[in-house]
Amino acid sequence: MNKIREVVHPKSVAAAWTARREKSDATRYLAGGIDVTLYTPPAVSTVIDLSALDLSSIREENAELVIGATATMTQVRESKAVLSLIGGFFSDVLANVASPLQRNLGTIGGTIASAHPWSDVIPALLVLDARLALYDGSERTIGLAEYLDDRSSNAVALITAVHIPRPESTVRAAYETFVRTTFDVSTLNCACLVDIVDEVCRSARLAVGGTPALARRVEEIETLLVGQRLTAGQIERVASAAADAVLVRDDARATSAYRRQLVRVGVSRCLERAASAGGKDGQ
Amino acid sequence: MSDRSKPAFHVVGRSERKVDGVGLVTGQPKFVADVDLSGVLHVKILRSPHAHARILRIDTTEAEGIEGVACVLTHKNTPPTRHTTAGQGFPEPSPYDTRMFDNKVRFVGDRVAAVAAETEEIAVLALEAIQVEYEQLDPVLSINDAKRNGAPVIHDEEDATGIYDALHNIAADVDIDVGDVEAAFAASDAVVETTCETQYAQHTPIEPHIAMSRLDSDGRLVVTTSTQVPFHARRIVAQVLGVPIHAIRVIKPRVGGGFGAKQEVLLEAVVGWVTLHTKRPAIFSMTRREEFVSSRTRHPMRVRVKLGARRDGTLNALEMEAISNTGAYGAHGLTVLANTGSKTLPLYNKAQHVHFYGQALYTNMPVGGAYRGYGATQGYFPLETAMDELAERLSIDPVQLRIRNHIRVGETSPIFEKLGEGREGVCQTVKSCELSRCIELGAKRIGWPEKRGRRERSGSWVHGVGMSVMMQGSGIPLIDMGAATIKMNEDGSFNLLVGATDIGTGSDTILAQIAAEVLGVPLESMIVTSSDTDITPFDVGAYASSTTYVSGTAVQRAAEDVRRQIVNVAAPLLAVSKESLTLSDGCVVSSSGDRVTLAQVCRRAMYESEQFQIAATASCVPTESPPPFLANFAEVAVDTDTGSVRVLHYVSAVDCGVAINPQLAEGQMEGAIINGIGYALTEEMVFSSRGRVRNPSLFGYKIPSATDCPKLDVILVESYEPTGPMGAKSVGEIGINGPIPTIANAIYDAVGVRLHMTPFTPERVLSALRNG
Amino acid sequence: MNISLTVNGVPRTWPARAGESLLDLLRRNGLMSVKKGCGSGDCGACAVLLNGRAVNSCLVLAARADGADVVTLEGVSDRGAMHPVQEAFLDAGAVQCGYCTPGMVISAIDLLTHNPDPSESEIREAISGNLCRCTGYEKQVRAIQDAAARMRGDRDE
Repeated sequence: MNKIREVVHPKSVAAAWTARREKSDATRYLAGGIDVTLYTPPAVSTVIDLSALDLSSIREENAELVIGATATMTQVRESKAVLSLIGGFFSDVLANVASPLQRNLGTIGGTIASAHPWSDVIPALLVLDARLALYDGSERTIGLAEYLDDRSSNAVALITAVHIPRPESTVRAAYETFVRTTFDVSTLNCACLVDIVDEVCRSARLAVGGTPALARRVEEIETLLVGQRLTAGQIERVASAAADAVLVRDDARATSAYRRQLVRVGVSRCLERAASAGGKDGQ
Repeated sequence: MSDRSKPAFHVVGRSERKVDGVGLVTGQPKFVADVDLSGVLHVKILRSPHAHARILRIDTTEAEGIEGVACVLTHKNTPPTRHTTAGQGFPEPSPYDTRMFDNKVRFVGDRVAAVAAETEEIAVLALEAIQVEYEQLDPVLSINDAKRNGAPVIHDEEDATGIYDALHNIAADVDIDVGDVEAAFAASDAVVETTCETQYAQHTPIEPHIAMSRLDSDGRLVVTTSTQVPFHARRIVAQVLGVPIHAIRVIKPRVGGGFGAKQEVLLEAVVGWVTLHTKRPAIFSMTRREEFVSSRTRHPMRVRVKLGARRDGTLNALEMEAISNTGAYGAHGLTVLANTGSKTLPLYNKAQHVHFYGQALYTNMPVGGAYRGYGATQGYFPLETAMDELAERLSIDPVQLRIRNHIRVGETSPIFEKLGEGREGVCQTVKSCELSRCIELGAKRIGWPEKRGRRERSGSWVHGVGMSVMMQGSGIPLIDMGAATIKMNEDGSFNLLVGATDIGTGSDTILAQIAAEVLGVPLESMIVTSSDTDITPFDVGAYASSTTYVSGTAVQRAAEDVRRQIVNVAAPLLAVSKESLTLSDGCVVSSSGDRVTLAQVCRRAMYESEQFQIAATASCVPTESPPPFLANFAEVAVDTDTGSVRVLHYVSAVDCGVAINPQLAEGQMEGAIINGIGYALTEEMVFSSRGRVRNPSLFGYKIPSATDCPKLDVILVESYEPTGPMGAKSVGEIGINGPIPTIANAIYDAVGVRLHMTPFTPERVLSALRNG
Repeated sequence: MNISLTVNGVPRTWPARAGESLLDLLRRNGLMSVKKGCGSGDCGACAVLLNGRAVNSCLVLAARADGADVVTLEGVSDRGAMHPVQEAFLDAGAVQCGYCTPGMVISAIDLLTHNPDPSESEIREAISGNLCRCTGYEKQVRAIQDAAARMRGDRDE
């Protein structure tokens, strides 16, 4: 039972942010509203409705895919631009998120701002090297990892869009998640993106999340991939190294020992799929 | 050879649309909460944060002073009557160890106080204003701790009755034996022993518990409640409130699922008390969290089974020891424990020597209650695992081992007589059993000979197949009673009034089909009213798989009586003897083909000549409980990298007698199987070290979705039960017993590892794979 | 505050608290088909169409619903005749207790509106947010397949 009594309808991004900043403890942005409904503290009395701000378009612009922050996850998943990005990698990730009912309501900006540690969207966006367009007095962009590292400072800023740079045509990506039932949050997840030319990996990005902490890039493991042929043996070595490098903990869902195994298996499967010809993540 | 002379039916045996279907599929307001709630008081409960504590002081002054609060309930101002909440026949075989509000709390989530207020928000505010001083006591948080010397006594109250040994936290004790198992084990060629443990699980009906009460225009208390047991609810509310039964009316509208959770009288006395004291309607609707923690759960159990057999696989000794965690109160503690043996051991009646013993122990944890399967589910896990081990030990196909040992038509088991519902049972002989055919059909459908032992691999996944067989019961002999009234209307339609409780199972439809069959009318001619204690005759309610067999027989008898009355009126009209008349197509027909319509008959009886109301009431108390039988087969794939288990194909071949409505019978099986798969693989209530449930939500406690289902094959293998209405037995519970042992045995076939603890989570499976 | 929205084709203006759920708002105004099973978006019993797509109404703030087009089960039949999905549910035996049914039908209608010829796995995904404890989903899936065929005109009426 929340204590929300008031809604304001700002006509501009600047007005929305101003309203948020003025009473930051007592306000929340309202996009889909899922996390406002589920997690709002009792101090919040006012929500700032973003629906009039026209922030939901999905378009290609300057060699980037730009996804408006209030686009719902269903809209993002079904958009032609996202479907054609690395063989539909991000659409496939979104297919695993929550349930269809929640995907029809929840927005991409909202899910990033909430940054639930089990988030599937965030590891995928980390390997896509996504940047966020923010407004907090003026417009600026910030890398997703940087935004997440300093969430408390960035809490009041309004996310207006997610920018994904168009990758080379040689890039492949894959995603792996471990869940109890299909409509469940991840016990562990990982995403990888590799650029393989003439059988050699030119660049690699790897993110592991739900450890139970929020997803992070694992740079020390990424370096083990660059310049290498992604043979079965190399993938196995990299996956084992990842299992040692990624910090995991016990929680109600799994022990750290089991999570370590999932890191090894998840990284291995992601890399196998991404490395195989025409591979994107599938079932 | 059973008599399968099943006559051709015209409405029984057809998958008729449910009589309440249109209303449900168009979202008509049919559930307890679907009324205008303006002016209704909202009741909220203050729940204990401690697993075990005395309430030293409770101060409700501030709460009572909040505007909009109508009353506050505590142990100081509510009846102290010790009772059981278990919805069972009187005298209930459960201890009277519960007070509406007590001065002691016995689990995290136990009742401390209640508030009735104008709105939910005000009620919640008032709860926060209630001041309670607790004296915390050491809690008992597992069955291992319950009986220890010096363990805290959970039920130390002086006025509790029916507890086996309160000082040692033993709510119930059962010990029966036949022959000499020790000698028989010693003389066996092979002896196998296994111990299995099942977890805390919850029914998760999509509609949580809810009840509403009001005073009608004559000042009587009317309780509308989502219940499986309206008549038991009336009696227990009367008992607890100290109010005569005739002053109470209980109505069950549509119920959004029960599965046993609602075979309990949990909310009705509270709302009833509020209404009696405020003269206002009151509603109590459990949150999902309360549904998990503070309603009822499956009894977690540790069950050991020991089998002794001859070299040819014939069993000669069966021992089962069951320790049940009944939680903070003893509702259903004894009877679930007894059923763990009574619904499993008779299956293998070749074993001449049987020993069943067990105890239900109190703990300071959520309360176990009735849950589909009712102990049999927990018992079949070790029993069918042990049978699988025995088959391997003797190099006999598990399928053949079951065929060799299962009970047959014309046979009995001493367990039927020795182990009943908390007391002695009833001797009976099996009169219908198609289990061998179920096994044969199921084995063929899953591809048993081709797949067993093959361990087909794809990547890290290994495939295996497993099987299990089981029986259940149909009602409780000599204890259950159901009754039906049928009265005729002048257009040839009938009102069917039954106490029987449709909780989504379709019993309104089934019972109407039985009546329509006897009366020779289409289903649409039956107008069903059910589960209203003022209007419908008595019925124990929806549990023990009793509705089709017991209530159905009452309906059949009432319909036959009405048919006789119709024939008596029609005979002079057609100028023939009564013996030559039959009812069909809404008419009374003579052997020469002359006919009168039922409408004509009833108009005559109602208005024209020697008027009387054509009507009858009949009852049924069953003298036996004919078991349905089931053979389950599953193909699973196990991921040897992660321990994940996926059920690929699940086949259930079930003998429920004659299926009155095949589609509804299949539906019962399909729902029970998917529920059982959740219980086997993913469902688990997780506790903190202080006894608090850590995952009391559908977010944290995972039940299967539509995307978690295997290819599902339900095969109805009909038999004809001569004691059942139209040859029917029952099908409501048995399906849920299959998945755990079937999947466990399939995992063994795939990866050679035996699992003894549910759920078979990936982590548990991987650990077993690693540690052998 | 007042919320203005279209409900089953009819414009409504209702008093509401900004932070209450669309579920509570709809039920308080007589739309009893919208069921409460959990209040946290996990069971799907409260599903309604919001601007044409199925969502958990327990997760929609009244403030968010202002100006929206909402369809509940009461609004899916055409002049008293049941929707093909409803007929198919009855014929298939897909309704047991009926509590999950409204949300399930809403999800099915959303699916068939956007995908008239769905595969079985697409059907299962579309209802994966609607929990049912009675049916095991088997007959609900068959019903939706049947409804799709009826709506495409594949079946004889």
